[in-house]
Amino acid sequence: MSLEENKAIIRRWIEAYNKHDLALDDLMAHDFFDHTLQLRGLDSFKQFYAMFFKGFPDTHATIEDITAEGDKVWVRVKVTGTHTGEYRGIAPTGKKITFTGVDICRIVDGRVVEAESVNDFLDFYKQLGVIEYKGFPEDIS
Amino acid sequence: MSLEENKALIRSLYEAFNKRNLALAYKSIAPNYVNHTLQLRGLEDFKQFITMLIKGFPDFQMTIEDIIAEGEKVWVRTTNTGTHKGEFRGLAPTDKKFTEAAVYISRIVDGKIVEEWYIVDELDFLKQLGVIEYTEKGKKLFPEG
Repeated sequence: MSLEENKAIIRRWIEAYNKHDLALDDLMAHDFFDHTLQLRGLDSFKQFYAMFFKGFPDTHATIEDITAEGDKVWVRVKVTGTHTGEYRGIAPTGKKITFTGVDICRIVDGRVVEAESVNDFLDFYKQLGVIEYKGFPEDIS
Repeated sequence: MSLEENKALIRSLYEAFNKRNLALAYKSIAPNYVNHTLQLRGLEDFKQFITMLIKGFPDFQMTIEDIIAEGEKVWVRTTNTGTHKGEFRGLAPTDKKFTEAAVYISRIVDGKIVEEWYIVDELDFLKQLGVIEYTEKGKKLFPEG
């Protein structure tokens, strides 16, 4: 697969996210592994995102930058959403959330086989009201 | 510059920073450097930021875990470590150690970085410094802490 073909797979993957489409068997390997979320297998990936989509029914990811080399595609995304559904036991807060992350995906034979991500969740958790600072200026982020 | 030359520039910049050879490190930064994440404008802003960082975390080290290049850009995944020994953004030293994953995206023109973005999990960083607490709601969401 060419680098552009691999990028196209990741673009389709993000498009599926934006449609909340979890029919991902053509895009992801069955033994997919997410190192960051420790999700083993495509089924656990689907379970995680089904839960996320329930909590944030309008969630949307925008690709801000994408690059590829070898069998890897790196993509910088901005994710937004509104917490209007129950999420991991937290009743809806109605808060808007936004965070930026980079996903590093390895692609083999046209399917994403593994991914890791670095996400700045500070704002996300502040917006959900699940963290508070102690003895630190509020303007740090 | 080739992709490999651009990667080599980033590798030597981080090595110079880790060894605190800042004069060498600053040679990789363009005078009109912009950091979109930190809102830094120009080399002098960059120098001030690095000075503040080293004052807060004198043993700050960056280890490259993965690096990729395409066009004018180099993307790097690093593991950063340090100990909070000095004042940092108004916070008195906690003596806490941290380890964080970060991604830096650098645009390079004529052998110098002109533009940069970075993503780091600030939440994890601040938790390790012990300056963030989960609220009751947060404790419910993350019982593992």
